Amino acid sequence: MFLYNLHLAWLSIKRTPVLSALMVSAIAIGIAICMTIITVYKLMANDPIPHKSNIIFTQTIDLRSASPDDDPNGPDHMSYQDAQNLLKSDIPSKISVHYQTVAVIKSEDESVRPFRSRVRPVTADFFSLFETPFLFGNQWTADDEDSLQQVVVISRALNLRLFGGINSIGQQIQVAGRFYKIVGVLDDWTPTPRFFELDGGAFSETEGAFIPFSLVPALELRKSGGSTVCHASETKEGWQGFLTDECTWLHMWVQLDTQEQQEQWKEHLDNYVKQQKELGRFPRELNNRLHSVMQWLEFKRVVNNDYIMLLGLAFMFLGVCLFNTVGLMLSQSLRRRGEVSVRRALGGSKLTLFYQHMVEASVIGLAGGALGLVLAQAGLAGVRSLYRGFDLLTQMNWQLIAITFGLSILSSLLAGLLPTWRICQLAPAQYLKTQ
Amino acid sequence: MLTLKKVSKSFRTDLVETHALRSLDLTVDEGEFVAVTGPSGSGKTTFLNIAGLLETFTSGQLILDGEDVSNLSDRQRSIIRNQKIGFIFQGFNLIPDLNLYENVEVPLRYRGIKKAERKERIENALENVGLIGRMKHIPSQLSGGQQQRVAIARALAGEPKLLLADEPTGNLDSLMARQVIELMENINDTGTTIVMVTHDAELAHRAHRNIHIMDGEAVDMEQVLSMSQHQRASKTASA
Amino acid sequence: MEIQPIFNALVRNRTGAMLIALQIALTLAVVVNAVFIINQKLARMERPVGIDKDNIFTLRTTSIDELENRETFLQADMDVIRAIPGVISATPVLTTPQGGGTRVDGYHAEQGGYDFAQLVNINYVDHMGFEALGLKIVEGRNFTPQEIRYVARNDDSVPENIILTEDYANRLFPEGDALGKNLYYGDNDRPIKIIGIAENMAAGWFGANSPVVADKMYDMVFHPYITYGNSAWYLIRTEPGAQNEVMLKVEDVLVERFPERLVDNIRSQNDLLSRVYASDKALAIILSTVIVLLIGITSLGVVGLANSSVSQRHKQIGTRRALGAQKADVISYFLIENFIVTTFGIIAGIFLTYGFNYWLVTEFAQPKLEGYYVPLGVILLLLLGQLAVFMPALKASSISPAVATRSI
Repeated sequence: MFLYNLHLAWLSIKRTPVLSALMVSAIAIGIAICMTIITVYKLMANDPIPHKSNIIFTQTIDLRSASPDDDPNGPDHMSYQDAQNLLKSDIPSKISVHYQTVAVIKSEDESVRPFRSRVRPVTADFFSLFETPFLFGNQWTADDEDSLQQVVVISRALNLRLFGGINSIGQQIQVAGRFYKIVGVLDDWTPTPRFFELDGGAFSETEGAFIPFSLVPALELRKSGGSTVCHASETKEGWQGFLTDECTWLHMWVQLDTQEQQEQWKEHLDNYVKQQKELGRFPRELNNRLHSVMQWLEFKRVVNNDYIMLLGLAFMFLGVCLFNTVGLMLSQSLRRRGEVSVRRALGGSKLTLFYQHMVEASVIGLAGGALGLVLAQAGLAGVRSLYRGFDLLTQMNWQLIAITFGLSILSSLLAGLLPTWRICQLAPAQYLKTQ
Repeated sequence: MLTLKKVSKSFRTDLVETHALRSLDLTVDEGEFVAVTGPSGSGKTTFLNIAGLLETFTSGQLILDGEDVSNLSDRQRSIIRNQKIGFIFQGFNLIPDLNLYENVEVPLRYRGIKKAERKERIENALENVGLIGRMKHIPSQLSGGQQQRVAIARALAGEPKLLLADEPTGNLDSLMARQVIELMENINDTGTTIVMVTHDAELAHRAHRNIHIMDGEAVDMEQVLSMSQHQRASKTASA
Repeated sequence: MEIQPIFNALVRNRTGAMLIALQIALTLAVVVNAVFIINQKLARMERPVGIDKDNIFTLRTTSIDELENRETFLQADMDVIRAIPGVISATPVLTTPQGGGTRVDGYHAEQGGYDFAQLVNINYVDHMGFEALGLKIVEGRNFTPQEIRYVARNDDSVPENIILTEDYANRLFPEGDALGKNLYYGDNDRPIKIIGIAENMAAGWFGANSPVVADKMYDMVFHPYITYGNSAWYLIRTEPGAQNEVMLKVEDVLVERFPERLVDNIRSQNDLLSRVYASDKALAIILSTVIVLLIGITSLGVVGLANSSVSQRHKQIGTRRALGAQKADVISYFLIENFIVTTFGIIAGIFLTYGFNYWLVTEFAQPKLEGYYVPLGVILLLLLGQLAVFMPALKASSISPAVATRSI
């Protein structure tokens, strides 16, 4: 029966080629616009680390001075002083403090011209907390960090630039004038969005080099990109002064595996703030904030308002295409009242006719979906050319392809429902007589 | 009232030229009730279409109500159809989306008659056919005979000089057919000229005069028009 | 031809008409809102920046090793750059204008008035800075070479004399008498003197959408500072037409003077601004595409339905013709029918349009839809409908009245 219906569908499509083409293209264009925007939206709203996004948190403390500042949210970052103090806690399974700087990188190989690269000082937990993939070697140890070893983990791209992609473990490079020993090379790592550091844009590439955070006091490597906010009217002299100032600039992430750990950590923070208040810091009320990954992405409004707006418009667009298709299907079905009457007279039940027309609607939907998929690729190529930094990312995965076909078949079935129902209501004899 | 002089109509396709009418000569006087009969494909309908200004013809002359209407523009023909001719079709041809009142109103609208007069005429016409009580109904709610009576009312409302009927009872059973034909006789009695195309001999007998069309040529049943073989041959040759 | 019978016929056969009306409604809502958003984006992109953007470019220089004397390094660089033929002037800056990177701070006009500090964007220029930016000093004077001081990159101290843009001057001193007045920084009592007021220049946060700075787009303060982290930004203004040539030459000139350096991010100000507006432009293009496709789809829908309605009503149209309808009557029937349907769609569409805008206003703090957008959208859709239905109507008018006598 299914094959017979398929055959009938094909005959019907052939009989009214213009109408069928119109229906297919209406669905295809609606789907293409929708899917282009959904793909970009999904990319923005993506969970970058799904298996642990609810147990890793970014931590902030409100250390602002008592002067008026309407923003109830407090700073986005931590001060060096607080980060250092909290790093001592053993409540979290992992703690990572990090920031981004830019430095000149020099190879021992004279033929490689020195270049600027992003450099990220991180605590050793950074790699395991964010589960960075290693191509060669591994992260440095806590001992390396404590003993201020000058070690470095470099990205795959940097390894390619400096060493042509070979295993470079044990080699030395110069970062901002100092020598570092390479202990690890990362594989490609592009969490999307780049949740651990949104300052440089949520969809940019990962930096070139990672060095131990313990070296920061000695290095005087200024934060680059993102914001540094100082909350005292007078700032102290020099780098050492800056590190002890009430300036927020560091990202702090903690991994708290259990509910119990989370409670303990909150309590620990409350106690820490109270203790610091006694020392004359933190003039404001207690305002510690712990954001899980998705909470943080939402708080930082990673999904652009423009895109939510566009999504709304896209669904309205699909609505137009849907009504369009309903109209076309309706007029097509009116044309074949005679045929339906004959089929009914010959013993076709309402159900079989319903089935026949729904198969036909699905065929239209499938064709629309396939064409829509092709058009959506063109749409995405268009979006890629419009936005920088989305290059690696705006691709459809199998899930989105499934959504495309699901949406198009659903649309066409929805569109086919009314005309089919109408035609099945016909009394068998009604259109036999007058013809 | 209606005069056709040597009217011919031919259709040309890529391969052949088909003659629907060949040099038809025919006169219908004012107040007559004429039945046009003939087998299928004889050109009855083409004759009716030409007489009703629904179709143009290839050669000849058509005079309606003393006026030569052979070479008028589409617009002028529309106006004459609207003002002088009433139609009754085999398939009734009521407009399914309009109720009876609105159906009868259609030609009056095109004539630009004022609303009050329209109302009066429509109600009179529906009264005449006995359907005044159902003027809010739509055609699909009526029987075939009733639909045809509405079609007659529509034709009458325009007070035409010439009523053209195309198999008016073709889709009706005999009882309804009789009602319709009696209605037409009443109309004829008020002075309206009627030309009716039919293949029903009994119906044809009720008309004043019968004209038989065969192969696109008219044969008056009473005054049998002579038609020479020579004429026929020359027309074929000129084609 | 009058509307009443056409309307009655529509009501008895309403499904198709309703589908078209719904399409029209959604189309109106999408098109009007999209055009409104596009216009906002265009208006945003057309905001004046104040500086001579067509003739300005910026670059970054990074020394490979630590520098001994940064102040003389900067001065020597300026000397060679200013000597390039075609260069009008050049200045080291803290950040590129409108480039997003900013130093943000607050000054206040009253001693001890920290609570009333007004948020401002700070940039550094030397004594040739205003010439390089193409900004006139409208009141007071420019910085003298002796006033220019080298500061460390992270130094957030304040100078003794400063220059403000007109907007910031008027914000602090609404009377318009800012020149010569003192400003204060933090809870420091040391007065800072306003020695000059410059033409407005768009601030570093010019590309931001934050409501906090929405009305402060031209609030800027200039410090007579030069600075160097491990790199420095230079801003160079050229004679009209000389920019490309200077941009090609400048790296060689700088490297020749001091080889142990990297020069990058050589970008014209227009290029920089186009980056600032990349997402605005992208949205405008996406929305325009949506509008064009939508109008196409809706028109095709109208044409398709009208076509099939013509073939369905073949006999009916023939009958009307037989009953005396002229070709023009048939055409106007379809036009009026479309007009009625479109009007209903538009009525629903107006609600939908304002509903969508209301959602944007409440959820995203977008501006309220005002003015001529809706009326223009209405006219557009009415014309579109008439245009779309015209060809099918013409086809209908050519149906022969003889159709009426055909039995099938």
